[in-house]
Amino acid sequence: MKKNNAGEIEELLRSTPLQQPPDDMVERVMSKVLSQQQSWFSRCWRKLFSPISVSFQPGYVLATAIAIVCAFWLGSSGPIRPEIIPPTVSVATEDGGKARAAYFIGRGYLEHGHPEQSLAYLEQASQTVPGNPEYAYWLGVAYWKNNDLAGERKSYLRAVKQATDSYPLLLNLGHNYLNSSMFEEALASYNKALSLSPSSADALYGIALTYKLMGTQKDEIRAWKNYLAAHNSGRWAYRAVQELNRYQDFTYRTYQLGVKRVVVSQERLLSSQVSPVDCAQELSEVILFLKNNPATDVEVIVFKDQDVDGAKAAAIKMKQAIVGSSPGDISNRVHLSWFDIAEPIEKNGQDSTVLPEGVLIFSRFPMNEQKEV
Amino acid sequence: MEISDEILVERILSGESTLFAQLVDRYKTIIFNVMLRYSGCRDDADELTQDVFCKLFRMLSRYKGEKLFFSWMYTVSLNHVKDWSRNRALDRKKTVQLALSGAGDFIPKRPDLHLEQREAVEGLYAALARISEDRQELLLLRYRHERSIKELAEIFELSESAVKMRINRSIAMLRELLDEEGTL
Repeated sequence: MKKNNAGEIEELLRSTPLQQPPDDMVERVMSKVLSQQQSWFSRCWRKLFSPISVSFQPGYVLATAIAIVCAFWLGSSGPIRPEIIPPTVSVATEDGGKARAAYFIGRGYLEHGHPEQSLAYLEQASQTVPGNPEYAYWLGVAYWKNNDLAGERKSYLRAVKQATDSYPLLLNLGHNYLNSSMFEEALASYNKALSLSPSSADALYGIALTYKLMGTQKDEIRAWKNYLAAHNSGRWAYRAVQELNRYQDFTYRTYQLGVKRVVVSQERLLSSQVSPVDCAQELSEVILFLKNNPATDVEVIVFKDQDVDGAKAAAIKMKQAIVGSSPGDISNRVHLSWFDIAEPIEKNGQDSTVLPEGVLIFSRFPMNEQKEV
Repeated sequence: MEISDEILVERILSGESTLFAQLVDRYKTIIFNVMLRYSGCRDDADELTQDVFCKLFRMLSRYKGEKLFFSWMYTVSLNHVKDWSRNRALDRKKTVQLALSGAGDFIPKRPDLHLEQREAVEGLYAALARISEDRQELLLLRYRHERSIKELAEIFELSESAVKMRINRSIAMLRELLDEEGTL
């Protein structure tokens, strides 16, 4: 299940950390306050000569006055006859109808941010019609919102027995197992979800995160790459690249173009086997950036240790891919450089490492200079 | 049962000054965090918090009950720290991020388990620093400190429906900024 973005942001806001003031704040404030306090004489003076204000709400006064008058009037006019109130008519006349009604009420509470109230209704719906996976799914969501992982899991497990190929149920079950540190079960659920939706970002990302928590580095790296092969934009993609780079795996890298960050497969760009079409596809965000920012140029720098010809060929191939896929002639906006040395990479701001092969891409404003290519 | 702010104020004004300690204890965390957001430094925030409470004590007789006490107190505090920071000409964006990014009590016991949430919160800080001060205060007061719409309406001098609209709009702005993740 994809969380509602507004709800996710609200939860994040709620969870922002609060800094605690020093423990002796109250003592220090009171010490200052009491030392500034006025003398006994000043306090008495202020009490005697400060105005006293009385406030009332006219509506309540009027209502009280009417109630008093009515009490006197009714009291003087004899006994009051009770009204006959007709019984309320039950709208739902069958179990299924009541279950549906309870389901809608529960969903309503959930949507309006009252998960505690939603539980009873969704529980009622699910108990009344146990074979309905929709009821069980939303009951699970209600348990999740109430931080009851066990309840959530029980609901989903009950539902998947009836709906064995329900992608949302399997995905949520995977998330539940992950949150409960039941990693093998999480992987099984995510993989089942993936079999139903092979490019599911949630499932792919969930698998990578599960491997990360399990500490199985090789599986984790492979999973991040699987994610990025299917999804190479957005904050999860940036995070996936970050995770890979942490392991000194630069198969994928991020590049800053103006105010935008793009994810590119460096491995693919530098491969001698890559076709011009695939190269252009990999550089699609760069092409789009140049199209949307006509006043900006792009620099492409290729490093190949002890291979100046290879570096040059790779750089030219990238430029041809960008220029060939862009409207108009933008060859004077793509600037190349190539080096036969390894690319130095800064690691955690302190140590540095080198990449035998590397690509740097960044944007800049055009300068008056002699063009290289 | 907790004594209401208004009753506490009445008793303080009638001479029971030591009861002011209850108000300080009740609101010290919220006020301290406001001061920290504007100053970016715990020492300054500490001093500002003390100054604000002393100021509130001196001004208590001016509180007439026309607003909820929290609204009145927060308005005084906010004006105080805005004057202070104006004089200091601080870079607001930097201080918000600095203030909010302190470790505080958020260090998870198992960092990897909370990896996503921690990174999501850091992304939120960066986005918060890019919206206006008033919107930041509005969102934090509403969601972090769980203040009512009425209190927010009094603090920001808006109608309650305007407050709700502004909250929704601010959330939408944060969502856009967060969706641009990767932007400067």
